[in-house]
Amino acid sequence: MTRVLRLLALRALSAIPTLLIVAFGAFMLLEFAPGDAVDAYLAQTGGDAGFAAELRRSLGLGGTFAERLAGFLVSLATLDLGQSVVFARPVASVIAERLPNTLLLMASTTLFAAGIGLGLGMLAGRRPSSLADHGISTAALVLLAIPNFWLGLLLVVGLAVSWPLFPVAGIRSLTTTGGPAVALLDLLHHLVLPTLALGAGYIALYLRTLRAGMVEAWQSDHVRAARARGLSESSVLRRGVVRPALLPSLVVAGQNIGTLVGGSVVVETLFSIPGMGRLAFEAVTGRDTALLVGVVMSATLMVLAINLVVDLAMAWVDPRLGAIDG
Amino acid sequence: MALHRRDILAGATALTAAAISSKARAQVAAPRSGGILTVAADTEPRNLNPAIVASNGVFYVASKVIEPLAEMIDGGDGLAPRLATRWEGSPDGRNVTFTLRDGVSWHDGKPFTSADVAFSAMRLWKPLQNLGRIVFKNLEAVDTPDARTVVFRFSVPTPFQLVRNALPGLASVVPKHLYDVGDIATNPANMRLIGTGPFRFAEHRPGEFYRLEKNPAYWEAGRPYLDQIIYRVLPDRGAIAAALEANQIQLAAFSAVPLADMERLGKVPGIAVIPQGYDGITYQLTVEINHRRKELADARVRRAIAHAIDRKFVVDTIFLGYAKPSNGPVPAFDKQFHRTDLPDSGFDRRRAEALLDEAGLPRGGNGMRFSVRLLPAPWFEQTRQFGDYLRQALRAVGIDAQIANNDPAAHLKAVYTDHAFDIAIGSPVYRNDPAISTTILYESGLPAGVPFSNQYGYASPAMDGLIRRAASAVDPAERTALYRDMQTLAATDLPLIHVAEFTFLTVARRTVMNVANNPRWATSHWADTWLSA
Amino acid sequence: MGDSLAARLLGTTAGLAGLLLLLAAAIMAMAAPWLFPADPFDIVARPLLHPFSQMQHPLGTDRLGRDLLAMIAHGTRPSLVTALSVAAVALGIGLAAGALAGMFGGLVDELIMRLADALQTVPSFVVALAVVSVLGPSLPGLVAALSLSAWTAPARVVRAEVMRLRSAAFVESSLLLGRNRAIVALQVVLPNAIAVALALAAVIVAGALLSEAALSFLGLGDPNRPSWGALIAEGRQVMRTAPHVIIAPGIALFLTVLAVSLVGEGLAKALSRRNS
Repeated sequence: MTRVLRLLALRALSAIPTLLIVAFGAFMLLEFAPGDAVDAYLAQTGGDAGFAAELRRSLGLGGTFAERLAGFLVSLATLDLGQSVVFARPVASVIAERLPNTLLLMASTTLFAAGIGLGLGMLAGRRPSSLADHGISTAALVLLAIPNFWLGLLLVVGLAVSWPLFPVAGIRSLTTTGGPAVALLDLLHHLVLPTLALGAGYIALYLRTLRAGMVEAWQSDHVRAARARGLSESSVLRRGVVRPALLPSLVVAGQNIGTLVGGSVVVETLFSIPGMGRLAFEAVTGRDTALLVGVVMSATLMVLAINLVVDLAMAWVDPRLGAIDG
Repeated sequence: MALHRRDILAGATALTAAAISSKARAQVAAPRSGGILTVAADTEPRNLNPAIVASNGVFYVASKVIEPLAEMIDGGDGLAPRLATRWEGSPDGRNVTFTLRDGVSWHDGKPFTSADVAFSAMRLWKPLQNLGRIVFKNLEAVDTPDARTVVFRFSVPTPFQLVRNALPGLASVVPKHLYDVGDIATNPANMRLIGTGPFRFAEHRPGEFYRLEKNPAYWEAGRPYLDQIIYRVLPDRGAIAAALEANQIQLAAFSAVPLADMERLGKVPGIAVIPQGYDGITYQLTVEINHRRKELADARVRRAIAHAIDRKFVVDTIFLGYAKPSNGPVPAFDKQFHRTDLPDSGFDRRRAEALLDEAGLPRGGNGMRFSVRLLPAPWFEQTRQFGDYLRQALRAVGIDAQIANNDPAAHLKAVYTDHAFDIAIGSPVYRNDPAISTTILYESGLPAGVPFSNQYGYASPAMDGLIRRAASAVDPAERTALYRDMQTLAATDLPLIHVAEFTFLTVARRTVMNVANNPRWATSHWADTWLSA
Repeated sequence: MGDSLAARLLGTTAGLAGLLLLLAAAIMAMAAPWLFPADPFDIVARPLLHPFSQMQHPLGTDRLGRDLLAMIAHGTRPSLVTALSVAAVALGIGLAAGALAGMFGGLVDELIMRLADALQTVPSFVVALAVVSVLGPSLPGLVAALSLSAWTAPARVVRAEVMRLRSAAFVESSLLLGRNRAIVALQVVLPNAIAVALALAAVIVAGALLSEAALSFLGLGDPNRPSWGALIAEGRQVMRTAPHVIIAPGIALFLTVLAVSLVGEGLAKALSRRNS
C-alpha cells in the first residue's frame, strides 16, 4: 500500500512541471499567433473599429503582453480555468461536456484494438516464422500504413452512404425513444465506424508488441525450464510465453494514449463527434487561450493518469516490477 | 416576375419545379396550427442579441423572439410593418417619425412602448451595434411624445431612404426595463432573450439545441402557427444531410447542406431545395487588390486581372450554378440602385495581356511578369476554391500568385489590420442599401482594423465625394442617382473586382409551408410558417 | 559495416519490398516534372471526370477540373521532402539532446528530460496542429511542428546508450585525461547510437508522412503545392458521386508509408541479425 502511495505522490509531484510547461507553451503559442479572439469573432459579424475595441475591452484582450501574462499566471495559481471566449461559458463546463465523448471513443478503440490485436498477435507468436505468422505480420504492417482519416472516409462511403448500415456522423441520434438500453445501442451504433477508423493502426501495434514479446519468450530460460518439467505445450504457451509477453503490451498501450488523443482530433472532425480533439482545434482557430490551456492541460492530465493506472496494473501483475520510480 | 428570372438562373429544373410547387401549395391550402419544427443550426453565437450583433447567425435564432420595426417583403414598397406601423421622414432629413403598433407586450407581460424603441436606438443600435454604429452615427436623440410615437432626430440631414432600408436588419427592439439596469454587454438577456416576437425563448442546452415556444399573446392574432421551433446544433454538414433524410430535422438553411449534395437531396421524395428567400442578404465574391503595391496601383493592371477571370466558370463550377456573375457593388436584386449598363469586364485573356504589356509589365524569363501574395478568405469553401482558380487564372496572364493559407483570425489580421497582402478574396454582404456595408468598401480614410472595408489603400476624392453626398442626400431620386454614379466610377477605377453574387439555399421537407416567402426569410420571424403534417 | 548492412537489408523480404516501393516513390518524386510538365494546378478538363473515361486523364479530375494523376505525382516530392526533413531534424536534435543529457547528467539532464516528458505527454498531433496554425504551413513551419514531439524518442534512446557507455573504461580514461566531455560524447555516441537511430528514423518518417497528410486534410497544409491530404479533403464533399478523388491519393499515401515501414522492418531485422 505504501508503495502505491509513494508512487502516487511521486507521480503527482513530477506531473506539476509537465503541466506547467504544457500550459505555458499553449499560452505562448497563442500569444504569437496572428490575430486574436476578437479577430476570429469579427470574421462572422463584421463591425467597425469601435465595435472591435469594445469587444477587446470586455474580453480583457487589449492590454500589454505583461498584463495578459500576469492574468494567465494568476489563473494558474488559483486553478481557475476561466471563461472560454468562443463558447461564452466557463472552460470547465465546455471541457466537461466534451471529455466523455473522447473517453468513450478512446475506450472503445482500445478495447477493440487490444481484443483483435492481442488475438492476432497470439496466433502469430504461437509459431514464429510460420505461414500464419508471416501473413499476420504483413497484415499488421499494412494496417499501420493506412491513414486513419482515409480509412474513416472509405468506411463512410462504403458502410454509411452506399449501404446505409451505420450513421454518417455524430455520437448519438437526435432523438431516441425507448429508454437507456436503446440509447446505449444507439451510442454503440454511432461508435462503430469511428472506432474502426481510429483503431486499425492500433490493432497492428498490439499485435506486433505481443508477437515480439512471445518470440523473445520462446527463447527464454523460463520456457526451457517449463519444458524440462514436462508441462504440456499449451501450458507452456500460456504461462511461459503469453503471460510475460502481455506486460510489454500494457506498457505500449500506456505509451500510446497520447497518439490516441491526437488521432481522435482527425476522427472527431471527420465524424463530427463533439470531443476534446476537435475542441483543441476550435480553441486554436478561435484564439481562445483559456480554452486551449484548459484542453491541453486536461489532455496531459488524462495521459498521466492513464500512465499511472498502467504502471499500477503492471506492478500488480508482476511484483518484480514494483520498484518503479517516478 | 422575380420567380421567372430566378428560374433561368437557378440550376436543375428539379429545383424550380419544387420551388414553384411549394409556393403554389402555400397559397392554396389553409394553414394548420400546431407542430414542432426542428431545424439545423451550425453555430452557437456568443451573443444572441440582434440589437448588438446584427449578423445572420444571430438572426437565424433571435429574429423569432426579438422583432425589428419593419421587415422585408417581396413586392410592394419592400417593407412590411412589424413593431412600427408607419414611418415618415421629414423633408429636411433631420427627423424620422415612427408610429408604433398597439397591443404589443413583451414576453414577460410588460407593455411595449416608445420608451423601448428610444432606449434600443440610443443605448444599443447607435453605440454598440456592429452595423448600427455606422448607420445611426448621426442620431442625436429620440423623442417619445407618447407611448405610440417615436421621433428620431439626426444631427445632420440623413436620407430617409437609408433609414427605411436599415429597418429590417438594424432595428431590433429590446425591452428597456430589462436592459436599463447595468452593463448592457454582460446582461443575461443577451442569451436568454426577451422580446415581442411570435416565439418565446424557452431553453438553450449548449452544444445541443435551442428551443423556442409559441408566444400565446402575440400581437398578430392566430399567429404563430407552430408550437415550437427547435434548433439542433449540428456543425457538420454531412450530418445535416443525413438528419434531413432521416426526418430528424425538417429544414436546413444557409446552404448548410453542401452544394454538391443539393441535387441529390432534391430528388429524395418529400424534400425540396429552395433557392429563394435570401436576396435580401446577398453575398458578393470580391477580389480585393492592395493599392499600396506599385504594380497594382495601376488601374490597367486591375482591369487586366478582371479580364483574366472567367465568371461563367466560377458560377458553374465553383458555385455549381447557384450564383450570378456580377461586375459591380450593387447586386441585381436591388432594382432601386442596380445599374445594368456598366462597362464590361468580361473574360478576355488577350485584352488582359495587352493591358499588362501596356502598363509596362512584360513577361520575364520564367514567363511571369510579377508575383503576388494571394489571401483567400477561409470561411467559405467557395472562396477557397476561387483562390485556387484565381491563382491559375492569374498565371495564365503572367502573374505569379502564391496562396497563403490562413484561418479566419489570421486572415482578418493580415488583410484588414496589417495590410500584408497583395490580392485577397473577400465575401462582403450587401444589406439592402449601399450605405450600410457597401460604401465602406470604397471610402478612404478608414482606420486599420475594420474588417470588410477599404483596407486596400484605395483613395479617390471623386468616390469619397459621391459617398459623402449620398450619405446626406435626402431626396431619394438624387440619392439613387449618386449611387448609380458610384457604380460607374467603381467600374472604371475598379479598386476591387466583383466576380459573383451568391445567396444560399434552404433544404426542407415539403411539409414545411411558407418557406422563403420574403427576401430574408431565414433571418425573419417565421410567424406564418406552418407544418402540413 | 555500412556495406554488409545494406546487403543484409536487401536479404530480408521486407527490406527488399520496401526499398523497391520507396525507389518507385523517389522516381515519381523526381520525374514528376518530366512526366507531367504542365502545372498540376492547371484546369484541364471537365470537373469530376471519372478515371479511365478519358485517356489523357487516366485517374480523372478533381472538383475544379485538374488532372488527378498529375496532382498525385507532383505531390510525392513535397511529402517525402517534408517527412525526411522531419526525421533529420528530430534525429539531429535527439542525438544532441540525448548525448548532452547522458554525458553531463545533473541539471542539464533534468532540464532536458523534463522538457522531453512534457512533449511526450501532450498528444503530438495536437502540438503539431497548434504550431502549424501559428507558424503557417511553409516547409520550416511544418517541419518544426512535426519534429517538436518527434525528437524525444531518439533523445531517450541516445541518452540511455550514452549513460551505459559512460562507465566504460575507455571513456573514463578519456575524461581523466581531461578531454572535453562534449567531444567524448560525440565519439561515443556516433558509432553506437547511429544504428538505433536508423531504426527510429523509419518510424519517424512514416509518422511524419501520415501527420502531414492529416494536417493537410484538416486544411492546414500548403496550398501552393499539391498535397495528398488536401486532395482527400476536397474529395470528401463529392464522395458519393466521385469517390476516385478520395481513393487515388489515399492509395499513394498508403503505399509510400508502407514502403517506409517495410524498409524500417528490414533494417530492424538486418540489425538484429548482426547482434545475434
